[in-house]
Amino acid sequence: MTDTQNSSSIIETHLAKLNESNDSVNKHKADAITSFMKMGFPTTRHEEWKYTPTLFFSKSELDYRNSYVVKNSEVLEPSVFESINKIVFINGSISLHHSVFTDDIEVHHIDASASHTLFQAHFNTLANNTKEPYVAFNTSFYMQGVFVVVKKNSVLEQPILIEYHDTSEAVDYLQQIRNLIVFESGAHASIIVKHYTKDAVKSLSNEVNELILYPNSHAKIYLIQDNLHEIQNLNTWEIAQERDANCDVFTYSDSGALVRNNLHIAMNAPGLTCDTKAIYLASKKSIIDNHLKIEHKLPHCSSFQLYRGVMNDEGTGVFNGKIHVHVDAQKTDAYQSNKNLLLSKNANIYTKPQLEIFADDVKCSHGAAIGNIDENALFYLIARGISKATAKSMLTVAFANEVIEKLDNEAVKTYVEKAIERALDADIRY
Amino acid sequence: MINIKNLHARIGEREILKGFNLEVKKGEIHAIMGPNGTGKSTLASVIAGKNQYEVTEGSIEFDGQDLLEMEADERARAGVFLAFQYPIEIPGVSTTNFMKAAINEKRKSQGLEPMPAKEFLERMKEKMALVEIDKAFMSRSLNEGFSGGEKKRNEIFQMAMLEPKLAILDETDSGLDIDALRIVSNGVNKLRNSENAFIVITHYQRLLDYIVPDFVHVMYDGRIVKTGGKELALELEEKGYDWVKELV
Repeated sequence: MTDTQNSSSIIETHLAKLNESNDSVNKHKADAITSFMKMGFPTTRHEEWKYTPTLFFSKSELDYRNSYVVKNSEVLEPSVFESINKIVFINGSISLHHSVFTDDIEVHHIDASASHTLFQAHFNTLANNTKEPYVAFNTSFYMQGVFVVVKKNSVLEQPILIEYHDTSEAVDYLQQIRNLIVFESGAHASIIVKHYTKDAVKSLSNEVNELILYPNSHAKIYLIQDNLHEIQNLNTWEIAQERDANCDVFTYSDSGALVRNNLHIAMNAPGLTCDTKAIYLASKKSIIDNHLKIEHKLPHCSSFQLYRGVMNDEGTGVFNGKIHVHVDAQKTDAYQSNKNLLLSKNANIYTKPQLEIFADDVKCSHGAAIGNIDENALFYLIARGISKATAKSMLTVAFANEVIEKLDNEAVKTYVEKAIERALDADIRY
Repeated sequence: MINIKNLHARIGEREILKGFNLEVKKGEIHAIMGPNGTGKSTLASVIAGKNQYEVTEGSIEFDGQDLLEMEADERARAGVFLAFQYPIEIPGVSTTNFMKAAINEKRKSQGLEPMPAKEFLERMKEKMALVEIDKAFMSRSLNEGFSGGEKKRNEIFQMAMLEPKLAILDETDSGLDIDALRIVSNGVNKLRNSENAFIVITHYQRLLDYIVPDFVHVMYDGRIVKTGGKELALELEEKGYDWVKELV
């Protein structure tokens, strides 16, 4: 029996069980399985996955359940950010013992949330189960996750940390996390998501997050994807912005065998703004793929995309930025800029700006560029006694600075500056 | 200090320096003048170590070392400084960080710890005053959006910070108004001493009213065709460069 046959039979058994139940969540799962079975795992023949070969399991038996039992005695790497609200996962399982939170937020295990009205109203409403194979796969078989509510009018000074600690040395293991986060009206908070990975870990981590922003709420999301080592991280954020809500997303990626970020922001009211920024550094044989889609649905919204990529060694970067301006979205102001620096002959970058504009009175600007380090700039630094390696690092950091200087979270800013230096193996004595 | 013998250099198939000879001793200022396209800037780039030029013949001895065997950064750390004719704009790198990196890489090569922050800031302050640069410039991106005069002042500022043994000023005076020219020259005059030397490349005699050279050389077609004292500059100003061409 082949692997595929084996996994299909597991899926069919799972589906039969779900269909017997009347539970609404199980209904979502059953529907997702049906659409997942239609799509299957994407190959590089799939347009949206052309440069991103997700390498799947060699194991003959897929284990879709999470078997990891958290030990309270587990000693974790210390958090690099400070906070009084921290949600900790260890090898894909939530650890309440290691987590801490205040009254400003509610945190529930996703399997214990079905009776909550906000959960019922929003769970699986944004996830694109019909078009995104890994989202459907997640909806079908997610193992754990949290349902978080940032309460009405709470203004959190410190960020909410979501930490994924990967300590298991199992090879080929799967983690599927499903989170639903709701910002109630007037809630203001930052969320920092970060993996803490042991270097021996080789897993596939498929995370799907749905974020609902009620009127006048403000979310700042920081995705810090460093030290991922050999992990394949598929990371989806589906965000819906309601009236007067604000949304900023910053992504920093410098590691992992493969990172795929799917960011989709739906601007569902007039006059909204959203701001997306990213720095990605693909070195060794890493593939870092940023797919984003910003949807302007109504008039007077503005969106901003500032993506800077550095590819070294045999690294591959992918940028696919879609701006979709719906027919009613007059006076849209959309800005997109993607610049890439290639530091090695064997590095690759594929950049694809996509503008789909159905309204006639809009301002959409976009620019994509690929280049090498400027030889004249390099010589200028070297001619002052700076070694070639340091000069290259300085110019690379300078390139990323365009994004860094726009970050408003000092802790993230400092951390990312250091992470870039580490990733470039740079000795910059500032 | 520096002894250049029979230097031949080319870019691609084109030979630009064709047997250039020059010796500069400690404490001296040499001016090199000459019409466009005679190889003045090539000479500066070859000494600084820009690798797009190929040296086919000759030698450069600097402070007892074979300069041509050294990489550009090693030359700079050994005390060679080139004030660029066209300083490069580098977004994202501030002048402060640039100078910190340059000074500390030199110290590292000498086995020294990075310069203490206080000492560094004091030196910055002193040298900024020398070239009349406002401290707001220091945190701005290197040369980005600077006027021509500001860029040239920044070159002299960097020279003052790095205290080279030999500084080559490549047309530092071009495009400067009289105030900037005074500031730049004043900087050079304050920095000159019995232990360092300058090679000043210029088109115009005007600069030499401010920076008084010990020797003036006239360069034409890749080598020096005439050498004299500071009065040679005046003669050139009067007679023009066609006169030089007749000397060949």
